[in-house]
Amino acid sequence: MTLGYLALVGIFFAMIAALFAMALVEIRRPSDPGPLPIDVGRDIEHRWFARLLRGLPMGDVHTGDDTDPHHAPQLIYGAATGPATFMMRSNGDVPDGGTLDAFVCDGVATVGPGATVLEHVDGADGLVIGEGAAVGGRATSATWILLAPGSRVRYAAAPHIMTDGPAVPSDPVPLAAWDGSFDVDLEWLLSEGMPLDQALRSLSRTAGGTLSGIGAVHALERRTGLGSSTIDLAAAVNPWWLQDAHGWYLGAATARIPGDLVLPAGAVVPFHLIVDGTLVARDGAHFHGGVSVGGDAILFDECRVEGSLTAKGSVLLGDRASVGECVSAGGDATLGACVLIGGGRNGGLASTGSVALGPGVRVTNKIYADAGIAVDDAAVYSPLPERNIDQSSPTGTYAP
Amino acid sequence: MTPAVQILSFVIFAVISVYAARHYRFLWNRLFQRQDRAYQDLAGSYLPSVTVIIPMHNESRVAAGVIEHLVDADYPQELVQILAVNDHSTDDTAEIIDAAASRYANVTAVHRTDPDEARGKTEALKTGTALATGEVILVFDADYRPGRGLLKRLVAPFCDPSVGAVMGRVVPSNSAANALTRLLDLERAGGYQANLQARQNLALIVQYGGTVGGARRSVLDAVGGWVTHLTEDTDLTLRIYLRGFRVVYVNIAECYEEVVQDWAARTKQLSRWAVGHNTVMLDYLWPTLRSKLLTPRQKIEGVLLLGVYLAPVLLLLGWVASIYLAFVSAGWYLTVYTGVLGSLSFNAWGNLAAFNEIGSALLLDRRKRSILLLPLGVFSSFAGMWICTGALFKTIKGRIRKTSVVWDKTPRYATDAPATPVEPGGGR
Repeated sequence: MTLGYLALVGIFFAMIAALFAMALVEIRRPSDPGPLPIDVGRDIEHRWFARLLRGLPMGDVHTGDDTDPHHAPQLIYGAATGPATFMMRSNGDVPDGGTLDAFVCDGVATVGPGATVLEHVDGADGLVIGEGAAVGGRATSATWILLAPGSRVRYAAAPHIMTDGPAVPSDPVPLAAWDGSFDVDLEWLLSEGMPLDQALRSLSRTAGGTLSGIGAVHALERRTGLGSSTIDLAAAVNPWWLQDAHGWYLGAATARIPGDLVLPAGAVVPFHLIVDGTLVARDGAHFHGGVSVGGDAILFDECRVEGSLTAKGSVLLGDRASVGECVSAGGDATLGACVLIGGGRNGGLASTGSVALGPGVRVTNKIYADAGIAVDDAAVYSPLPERNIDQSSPTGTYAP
Repeated sequence: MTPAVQILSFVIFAVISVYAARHYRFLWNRLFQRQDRAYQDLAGSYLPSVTVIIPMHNESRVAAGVIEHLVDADYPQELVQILAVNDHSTDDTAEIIDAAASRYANVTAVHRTDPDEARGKTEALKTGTALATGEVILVFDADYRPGRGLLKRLVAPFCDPSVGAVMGRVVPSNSAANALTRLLDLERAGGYQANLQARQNLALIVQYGGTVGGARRSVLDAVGGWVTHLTEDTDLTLRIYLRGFRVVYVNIAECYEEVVQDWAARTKQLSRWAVGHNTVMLDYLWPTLRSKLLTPRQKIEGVLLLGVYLAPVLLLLGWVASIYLAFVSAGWYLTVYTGVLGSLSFNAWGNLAAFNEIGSALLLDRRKRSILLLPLGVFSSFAGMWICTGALFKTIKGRIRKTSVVWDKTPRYATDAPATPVEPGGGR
């Protein structure tokens, strides 16, 4: 064994010893004496900045007040004097072409045509984002937000968010709850070989309203033990358009299709649906539950989803389509005219790309987009790529 | 014998290398690639009815705290049902939860007192689930302190019908108590902040951890509900994936818990986890490989995950083999073998949460100086090897004798969880 070898071993052990020495010093006198801080009192609060601004010392923000003759409540700021943060105790406008850092008011806030708010804007009683106006951060309100054509915001949160446009059609009629008295009839219809969606239609006619398919499937699960094992769709709850499709019924009123899926016009999906590939649903398709899509989700005009719609790819909703709860898009989200999101218990729209809104859109709660929200007065709902859809089979492939 | 030991050492080396590669992949993903936000952009927008079940056995020191925190949650209380399930407590737990139930309309005290009935967390969960009315069932241990926004964060992923269960991040509240708690704090950081988040990003198998999480009621029913098991959470995770649903990890859904403060309790806890996990492996390895609903990547991850408590045993075998080979003079091969095995195992297996992941988690948590503690993890790593080896024998023995599950309750210390305010809307 050479001296050099011994030196090398010595250096190695010295390094190890040094590391342990530092560890022992740290454990005796820790730099992090307490646990990782968590703010346990923190709410999910969309309008936090408005609250924060109201809590600042008055000297830090410019205030507008009805009682102050120097602050006309309807014109608080012009483009000439440079960006600043404003707080108003009544209605307030950012006039045409004006620029502000942030703007909070207790009444209705209006960001005029072509005006810019670099950070956040909040109007407690309402918020209007004018034509061509832009908000770099959050646009929030305790009541409603109206987005005019050509406006752009990063984030919008209010109980009602709408775009200017034609009158929105009334909310879709909710599905009637499943009544146990239909159980026997449903079993009989299915035993006669009628697919579930047709059986539901038949029962709905008797009931005088559209019955919840989810409720029916849960009833079947309870009575027949469908949920006890993974079974092929073809053997059980099989709408006619899925009879030849390769898929699984998972239980919990949920079906999963491993590839792409093209639904015919007017198709009724009486359960939650998971599509690993791309989903294309033609006009008037009706999903009684939620929809989870591994690729893009393209829903034509007047499609209706009672639950939430989540897609790893982009989401395209045709005119007058509706989603009862939330929409989540891993790519861009494009909403046609008069689309309604959150018509059910609650709702919201989130996208990791951009969101394009057509006229007359209504969204409950909030819209968030990494790449911003844009409202276009032109037809944002571009023609669907019909030519790329293989229509030869119920599970045709779609090539974007 | 030497050739056999050499073959064994090569096999062990290969297995450990695969695990090391897995951990380096996680590290790269967590530090440099796109992160999955687990539907948190929709937190507060999706509000289903929720039942929170809190299994309790002799929890008088902590029972009131968890209920108070849940009642104070930023969630419509008419949509929240809180079930405090007293499982044969012999202290004041029953009185405490009865008092809470009389004070709050949505809190129900459930008492399991029949001396002939089975006991343990899973049994309490079964009782609670039978009474649950919510679409989503969340589970908290009694020593947890859920923050105001936590319920909204945990339920948000359920807007996706493919999500069967959800898991939040656990943060030790008593990390400052002693050297063990400090090391367990590091282990938790690596396990959640780095490992689980990376598995979520890579669409692999995310583990439901049994607390600060929960399942969709309909999915829970479809997969057969809670099964009496030492690790009912891992068991449920596998059943959810094998049924075609998935589990989502919500990193920002952080919650304080107590970690064990003495080595005896730690040994019992780790042994219980290892025996339970090994049993799950025996039950689900073949179904995982055969599943038509798992992707190939999920199958590989599933096998590695199921074998996670066998790896320390293999490491121990590897060290024994290297000592043997040293005595029989295996030459240059031994130097390379022991050097690389030592390096890989330190990085991939120290402390049962990979050291490289602990380091990256501490960076992400902005606790850089705690990285200095990493060498001390060697001691708990060696302890883990012995405990897991013992647990393997226990598993085999239990399998042969078909012994029933015996639940060892984790002790409580009732440390006060800190509340550090941060700027509204801000976050890590």
